[in-house]
Amino acid sequence: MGKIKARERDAIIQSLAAGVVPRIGLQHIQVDRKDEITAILTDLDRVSNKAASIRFIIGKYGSGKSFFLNLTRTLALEKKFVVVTADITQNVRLAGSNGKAQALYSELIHNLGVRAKPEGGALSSVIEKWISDIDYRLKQQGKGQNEIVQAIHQELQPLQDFVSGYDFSLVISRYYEGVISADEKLKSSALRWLAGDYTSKLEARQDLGVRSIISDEDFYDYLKLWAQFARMAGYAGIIVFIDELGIISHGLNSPQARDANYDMLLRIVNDCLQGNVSSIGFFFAGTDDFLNDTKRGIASNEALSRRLAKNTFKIAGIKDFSGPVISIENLSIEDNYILLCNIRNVFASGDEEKYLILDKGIEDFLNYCAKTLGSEFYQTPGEMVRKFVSLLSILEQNPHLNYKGILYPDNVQKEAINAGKKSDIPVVQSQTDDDLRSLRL
Amino acid sequence: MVDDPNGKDLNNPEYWKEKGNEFFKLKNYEESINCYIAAIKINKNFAPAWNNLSLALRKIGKDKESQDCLNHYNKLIAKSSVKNSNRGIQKSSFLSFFSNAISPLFKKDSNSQFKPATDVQKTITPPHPKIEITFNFGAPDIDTGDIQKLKFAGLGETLKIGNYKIIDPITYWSDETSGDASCINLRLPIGREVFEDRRALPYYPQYSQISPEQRANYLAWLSKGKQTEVYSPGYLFIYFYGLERRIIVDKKDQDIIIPEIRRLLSIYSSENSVNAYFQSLLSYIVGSSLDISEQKLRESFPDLMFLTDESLIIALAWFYENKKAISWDIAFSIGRKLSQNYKPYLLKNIQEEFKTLFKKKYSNLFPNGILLSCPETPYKFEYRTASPTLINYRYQDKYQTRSNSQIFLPNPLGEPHQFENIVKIFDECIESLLPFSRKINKTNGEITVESFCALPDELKDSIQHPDKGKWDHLFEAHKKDNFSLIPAGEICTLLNIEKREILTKKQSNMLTLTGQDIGYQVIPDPKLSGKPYRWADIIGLFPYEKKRTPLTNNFYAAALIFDLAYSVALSDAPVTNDEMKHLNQKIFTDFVDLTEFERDCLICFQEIRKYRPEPFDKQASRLKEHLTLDQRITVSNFLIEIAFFDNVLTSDEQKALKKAFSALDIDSITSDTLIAQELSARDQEKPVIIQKGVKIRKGEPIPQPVSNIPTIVIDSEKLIQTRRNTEEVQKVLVLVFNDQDSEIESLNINPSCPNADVEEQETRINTELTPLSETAISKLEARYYPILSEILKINQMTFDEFDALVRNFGCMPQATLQEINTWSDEEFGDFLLEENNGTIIVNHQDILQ
Repeated sequence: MGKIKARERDAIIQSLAAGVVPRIGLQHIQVDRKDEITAILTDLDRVSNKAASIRFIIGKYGSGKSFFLNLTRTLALEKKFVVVTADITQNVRLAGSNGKAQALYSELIHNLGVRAKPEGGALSSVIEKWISDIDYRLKQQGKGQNEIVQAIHQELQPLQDFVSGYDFSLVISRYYEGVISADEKLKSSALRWLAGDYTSKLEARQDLGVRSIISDEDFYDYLKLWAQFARMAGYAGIIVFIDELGIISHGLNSPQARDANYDMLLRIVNDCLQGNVSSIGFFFAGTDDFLNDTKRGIASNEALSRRLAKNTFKIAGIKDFSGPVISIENLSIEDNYILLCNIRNVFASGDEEKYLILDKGIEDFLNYCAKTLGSEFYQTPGEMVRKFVSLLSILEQNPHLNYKGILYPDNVQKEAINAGKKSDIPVVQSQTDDDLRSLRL
Repeated sequence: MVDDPNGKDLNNPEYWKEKGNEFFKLKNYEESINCYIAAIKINKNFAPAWNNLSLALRKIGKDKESQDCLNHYNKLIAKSSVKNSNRGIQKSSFLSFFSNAISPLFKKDSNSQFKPATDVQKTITPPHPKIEITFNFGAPDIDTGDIQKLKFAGLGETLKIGNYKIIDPITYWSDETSGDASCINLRLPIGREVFEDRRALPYYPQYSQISPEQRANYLAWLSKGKQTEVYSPGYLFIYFYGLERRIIVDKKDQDIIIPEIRRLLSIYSSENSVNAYFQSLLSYIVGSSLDISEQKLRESFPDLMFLTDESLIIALAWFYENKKAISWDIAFSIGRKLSQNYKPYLLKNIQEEFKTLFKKKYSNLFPNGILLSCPETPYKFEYRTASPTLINYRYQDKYQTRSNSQIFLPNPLGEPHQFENIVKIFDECIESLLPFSRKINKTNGEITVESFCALPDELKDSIQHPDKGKWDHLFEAHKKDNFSLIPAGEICTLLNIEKREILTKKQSNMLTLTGQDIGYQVIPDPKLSGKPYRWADIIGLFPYEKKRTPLTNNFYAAALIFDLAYSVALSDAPVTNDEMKHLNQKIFTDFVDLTEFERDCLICFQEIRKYRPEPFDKQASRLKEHLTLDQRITVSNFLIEIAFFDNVLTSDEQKALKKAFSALDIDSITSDTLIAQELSARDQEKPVIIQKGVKIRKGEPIPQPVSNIPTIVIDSEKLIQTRRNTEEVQKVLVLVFNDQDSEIESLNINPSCPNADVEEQETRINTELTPLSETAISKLEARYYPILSEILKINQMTFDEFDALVRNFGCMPQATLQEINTWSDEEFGDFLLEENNGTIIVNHQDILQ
């Protein structure tokens, strides 16, 4: 692997130190999951070929679902997709009343990202990209603004075949009007409407002249519209990432609420598998309870569980990704080892000569974590990675220190005393675990 | 005619009857009686007035008079139905009746007409506050002539009437018409025996008045020995009338009649009326001759425990008259009568146990019985004859103060306080038997272990425990000398106690109590040790010789002292035989007086301690509460003696002594003095070696700290495989991230813009303006070239400046930002423009590098 970009390096280190999954540069720390990644890439290719795709990333706590979801997101961005992401919460659901589903749509659109704006907030970028293309082209042809507005309507004609397509295209053209007349209010109103932030139809009508707003019932229709629009704007399509589906199964106590969400999922699954939608891909992540709990999980919904059923010929050890479910296994000790090696590599910006710790040191660090973290060590690499990043940060800032002195300050001192001489290894005084954690990079 | 103010005929008996009825409804019985009498005065044969008079008299408690009136009414009805009303009661007799009995209630007017004393129309207040009516009907049916006609056939005689041969008839007979109800008139026809309804005979049946067929039934019964079933109790009464006459009128044959009545009672006791009358006659017989022997009394009342109220008074009178102390059985009857808590149904199923318990308690409390005292006022006992022909007999002697069926008896029940103890015992018995009664009700009378436990202690000896066989078997299996040492678990199994390490207090107590119930002293007693048994404990069973003899406090004291001494003796080394012998000698002889049984129990206790020596604990401190200081010092001396027995005082012995002294509440000065005294006494004999110092106990070795050996093992093969896979994945990812040939490019081709390439070429950027290579620039859309040129000249700008710049070139800010960053990311691996809080930063260096 070649050198690592500085931006990616910093992003990775900061994210890992904060205990969150980096948004960029994931390829540098990804460990194994070869088959899963191949499956994902196939999915993305399928979507970019005007088809649809759906995947459920299922795994236990700490198995790396979110990491994998972010990796997929990064890959999608790289493949020129528009990506939207959101986490399910009690008030942000696939289906629900009092704006709960609308909140999911809003969350998705606010987190809309493109390659040049991977962190989200790229709604206006996507719209402007399309509008500016048309605008530039038509201006080159010597067309006036009115003609351009008409042309925009004309261009958006295909969208009007979709449900709510007319209002959508109307709002896009309103945005253009705002751009050419430098009417910031009109622009922001249009963006608000497209982001599903309007709660009153009257308000929307006064601001934009549209009769409808994006509501709980039709947010999925607008996602489909976005898929088409993204395609028109020159993107490969739209990829929707929704995490924490476990909230639906184990956070909602009302069976009716759960069923409504499962019905929405069923609708999406059906559309994706039957080919009713195009240029859109869905990636959901949830715990294995969400999938397998026969009382509260997907297994309680017969239609959905049948569609997500595993291949009956699946043999242990052999993976099959023909179904929509990708099961993520927890990282093994060896996986953790490679992960730490990769992080070390990121720290050194891919330069082996700059490695702050040797392989033996990584092994020692694993032992240290196994002792201090207990069961969490075997469940999730999160805390271990945080500690490792902290360790490397200390080593980077204090090149004269030895990792042993940081991990086992008492032992080192004792050894020094036993040897009857002052240790030549500098010792970090009373470096507790918390101190270690609180170190700033 | 006398008319009242309302114009009613006052000489009409119907009027007075109605008036009487009105008063009767108002419960003014005295006034109603006056009215009925007025009606009778007008018409002596006016039957309804007699009937109503009878009712009214009954209401005011004049039962005898009421009965007389009723009888008269019956006669009137009978006569009116058979013959004309002028037959039967003679006018003269009625006139005398009124003159003697009713006249005081009436005033005679000048027309010799009877009028009520009060005008009932005006007031309902009776003229006399108290009405005293004495009826004296005389004895019209019993005259000497009649009596002379009667003949009595007693025991050993035989009567032959028709086809019926009656042996031992004990009844009257006559060959002439006789007025007696029971007399068998030989002249009367006898029919055939018939089947009859129970109510075939009327009340007060008479031989002369029953049908020939009924006579046949009666004679048949007599001839069969008076023991077969009778169709109607009326036959029994016809016979009984004869017995009654024999006793009351003839005053003969008591010896024959008492057993005869008892015999009849034993056969026909189910008839309540038979029971009541027959018993009453027996009472009368005994009451009228209190000088009979006790045997006769018991013959008359064989069940002294269940006497009727009447019989009880008679029996008590007999005991008083004969100055005999009452026995437990009659005391039982007294208890039944006087106890407020006695309910016959309560202890119905456990009568035997009740009797036994009462007998025991009574005998314990009053081994010689109770001599009765008696108030001066006698009890008036009046026998009510059953025979219709004897109804008037008791009144025949109207001037006598004492009628023939009336006797006055001493009445010990008039002094109930003398029976207080009896009632107390009786109530105690009820209370202590109620739990047993409840338990046994559940098991249909079968005595189970549970119900046995509910028995009062007094009865446990007399009833065998249901598990006795099993315990005996266990005892024999583990027998050692005269006691047994049995694992507690085995006994618990007998008691169905579920296996557990330590029994509960309740279970331990149950074990001990069951053992005692069965006849074994259980050793040690958890009450003594204060500790419940453990499953693995050894328990001693010592059989009681005859009856339960509970251990006294002496035993418990001896056991506690033994525990103290044994723990001192045991503290240095196992107890030797000599030591044990010495110990026992002191305890058995010097300290406490133990019975033979307790001595044996203590030996058993010692055996148990040999199996499982237990250090004395809090229980030992009980000694200090119950012993005086002198006694405690004696015990302390004994303990010191035991400690010095082998002439060596080890540190453990010192500790044990100290503990024992503390339990006995002997302060250190006293204890030191005692030891010093013992030492000085011993100096002359044999010196005592006192070992000092603390014995060091070896502790457990502390393990070495665990070295920092790796707790995880990395599988190298797996590691290699993972590394390989990771590298492959990274290659794939690198391919994606470094994909220079944008697959999406084709998508950008806008069909509405066929000349796009041409235009691009026209707006080609002058590369001289930028430090970037032409190849790199060519990847960016041509319309952004001038913007890029301008941007590269500066380091940063506000977003508004950027906006203005972009607009100058006919582009849009967000789209431009995106396009340039996408291009720079693809070409140089990073974004050229960075938007940060309304500022656009241009990363020259990154790009140029």
